[in-house]
Parts: sequence; structure tokens; C-alpha cells
Amino acid sequence: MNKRNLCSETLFQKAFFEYAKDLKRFLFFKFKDMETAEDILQESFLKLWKNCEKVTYSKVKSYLFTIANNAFLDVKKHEKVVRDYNKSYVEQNKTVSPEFLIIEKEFYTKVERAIASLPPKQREVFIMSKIEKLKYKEIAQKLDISVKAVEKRMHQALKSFKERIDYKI
Amino acid sequence: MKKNYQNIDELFADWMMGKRTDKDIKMLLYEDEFVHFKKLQKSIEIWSELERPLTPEYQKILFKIKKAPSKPKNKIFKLAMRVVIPVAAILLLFFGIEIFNDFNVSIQTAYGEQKNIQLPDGSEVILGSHTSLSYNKKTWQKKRELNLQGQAYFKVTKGQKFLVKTKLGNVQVLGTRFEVVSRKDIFNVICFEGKVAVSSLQNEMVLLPGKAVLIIGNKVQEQTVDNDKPDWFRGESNFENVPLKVVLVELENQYNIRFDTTKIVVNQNFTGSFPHNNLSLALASVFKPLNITYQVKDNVVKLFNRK
Repeated sequence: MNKRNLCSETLFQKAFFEYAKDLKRFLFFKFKDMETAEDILQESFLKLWKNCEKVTYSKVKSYLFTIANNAFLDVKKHEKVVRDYNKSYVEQNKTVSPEFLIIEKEFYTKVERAIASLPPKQREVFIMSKIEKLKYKEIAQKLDISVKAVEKRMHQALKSFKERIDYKI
Repeated sequence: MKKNYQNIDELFADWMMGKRTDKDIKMLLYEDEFVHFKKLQKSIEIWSELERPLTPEYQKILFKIKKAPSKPKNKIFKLAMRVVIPVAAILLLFFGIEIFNDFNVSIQTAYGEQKNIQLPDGSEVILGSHTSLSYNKKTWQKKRELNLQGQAYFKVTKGQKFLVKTKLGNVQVLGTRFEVVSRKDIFNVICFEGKVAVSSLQNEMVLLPGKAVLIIGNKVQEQTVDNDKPDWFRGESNFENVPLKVVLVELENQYNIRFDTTKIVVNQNFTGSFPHNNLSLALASVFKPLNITYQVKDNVVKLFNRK
């Protein structure tokens, strides 16, 4: 299985669901931009499919991350050319407002860990709300509890999240 | 915190849930605390974006792959073909067409079409829309084996084992009535009569009458059915609490359309039906109840969540 190339749709799909999330995360922290990360993610997998004959399953991960990293370097090279060209222009735009905060990878890793360590019931509601984008009413229906109870759990989740981040419980 | 008005974590939760505005908390917090709140809020947004399922992206990639012309073959292959084709043509001339007729039978249906066929042993197959089926006429008496891609209903006469092979798994029976759907990564087997052995990439199981199994990717879902025949015989498709994705694939294969699901989250379930002879009615009956709006352009249907 590990020696077979990626030209079968089943294996290609398996590779996608195994590595796409990690690759997206990697790209996001390189580019600091979600849209670019998603574009490059798609390009990387299209490239993988194009070259599927040459890539065995055991090589997929390093292949994908190499493509993605090269794409990053290309973009940066291009940006540098543009930046050098109108240097004086960019320098002026240096106001920092909370809206343009850059989240560092270290900080984000703490956030991830805090969410992962939430008590199961709180975490469940948190995920349904933030990832599945369900409304409180829909969560209430799914879990067979009242809307009030959902709100309470969500509130607890956010509170324990904040505690975990600041006091490292 | 400027005043010990309330626990700061409590305040954070209130604010995140929209019970307090930025302006409210700015009055209560020092500047760096406010920035910290904002950073946490943004991190949660990033988290929900990075952790969400990437199924829509996968579909987008598949769509692009399928749309692109078939992959360029390598040079050696091209060169080989330049030799092989003339040689084959000469052989054909000498030995006649006979030897190339290896008794392979292959049958296709177009979008929206259904076809009844009879196999050499008298078993019946009804092919659904956009489906292909092939078998070998010569070896059929010894080995009842056929390849299927798409959707088909089988009524098998009693006899030796009868094997349906698909990309996603195999279905084996002795004599019975059942339906097989194998499209994209969706593998669906429904048993109407007798016993059906299903072996997919994920698992193996035996279905009894009235039972069905729906496998999507590596998720296996068992179902019960109460009708005696597939509902697409009556020119409609019925669904009971199945992932929306299954419905989309079925629509695509019935009407020759493609869905662009990049703007929506496809994780809801659908219960209901759609007709096979009226696209606009079909789209309305699926998406209206789910609160999804859509735009049709050429044969691509773009989906949006209704705001």
C-alpha cells in the first residue's frame, strides 16, 4: 500500500484527509492569511494529482510540504520585488490596531491546547457552535437539552478556556 | 482590570457571547488586557477555520481534476503507442476482428436515463442514471461477475455466487434482489430480498432484507428501508436522514450538473425527495427546507447559506 502511487482516487482522497488540515495550518502560519493558505492548499493537491505517478504514499507528506513551502518562497520573492519597487510607499502604513493583530504560532498552540483540554460537555457545545456553526437552538435540539442549558455550557466553555490560557490550569 | 467589577474570565465569556460590546469592556479593562481579549477572539476564529472539515475543498479539487483533460502521458508511452497502433492494425487485418472481440459486454446509461437489461443467466438489472456496467459473456456461465459504476438494481436468479464489483467495494449474493450505488466516495447497498454480503475498503458485513448500508469515506451508517423496490423506479429519489453530500451526488448524476459547495458547510442531513424530470423543482425541494439558496450557471450550481 505504501509503495503504490497516488493515481487512484481512493488513495488520493486518503492522503487529502490525512494531511490537508496540517498543511493548511502550516500554510496559514507562513502566510498569516487564510485565503492564501486555502489557495496554496488546493494548488498543492492539484500538483500532487498531476504528478501522482511519481509519488508513493509514504512520500506524500514530505512531497506536499515541499510544494507548499516552495509556493511560499515564490510568493515572498515576488512580494520582495514589489516592495523594493515602491519602498517609500509601504513604510508609512505602520499603524497597529487590534484588528490587525498577528497571532503568533506559539500563542495559537496555547489556544489549541486550552480548547482541547476543555471538559467534554463544554467542548462539545463549543465545537458545535464554532466549527459546525450551529445556532444555540440547533445545538439544543441535537443534544436534547434546553437553549438555556446550551448557553450556560457555552458560557462555561469560554470561561474555562480563558482560565486555562491565563492561569495554565 | 481597572475595577474589580466582576471576574475577568466571566467578563471575557460575556463579551464573547455578545452580552457586552467592545465599548463596554474597554471601560473596564486596561489597554493590554483589551488587546489580549482581542487576540483570544481572533485565535478562536482562526481555530474554527483551521479545524473545520475540508470536505468542500476536497470536492473542489475533485471537480477541477475531473474537468481537466486527461493527464498527459509520458513520452515513452507515446512512442510505444506509435508502434503499437500500426502493429495492431496489421494484426487486425490478418486475423480479422474475431480475436479482439473478447466477449466483453459494456452498457452505459446517459444522465436521466434508465435501462433494463437481462444477463445471460436470466438475472435482471435495471441501471439508474449515468451508470456503466460491464461483464464477460464468455465466462459468465462459470463466473457470475460484473463491474459497476453508478447505480443499479439487481434481481438475481438462483444459482452460483453472483458478484458485483465496484471501485469502493464488492457485493456478493446467491439469489436475491438488491441495489448498489457506487459514486465518488459514496457506497450504498440496499437488500430487498435474500442475503447480501458486502465487503468495502472499510469492513465486511451481511445485509438482511429491509437493511441497507451507506458508506461515505470511512463512515459506515446502517439503515432500514421499508419499500420493496428502489424509489428511482418511480422517477424520484427519496432520502431519510442522509448526509446532504449523498443527495448532491445523486442530483449531479441525475441531471448532469455540478455543485459548488465552497460557500456552505455540507454537514447537515436531509430528509425528503426530488423528482427526476424537473431540475428547478428538484433543486427547490432539496434546498428550500435546508435554507440554502442557489445560483445556476451553465451546469454549475453554486450554493449559499441563506442569511
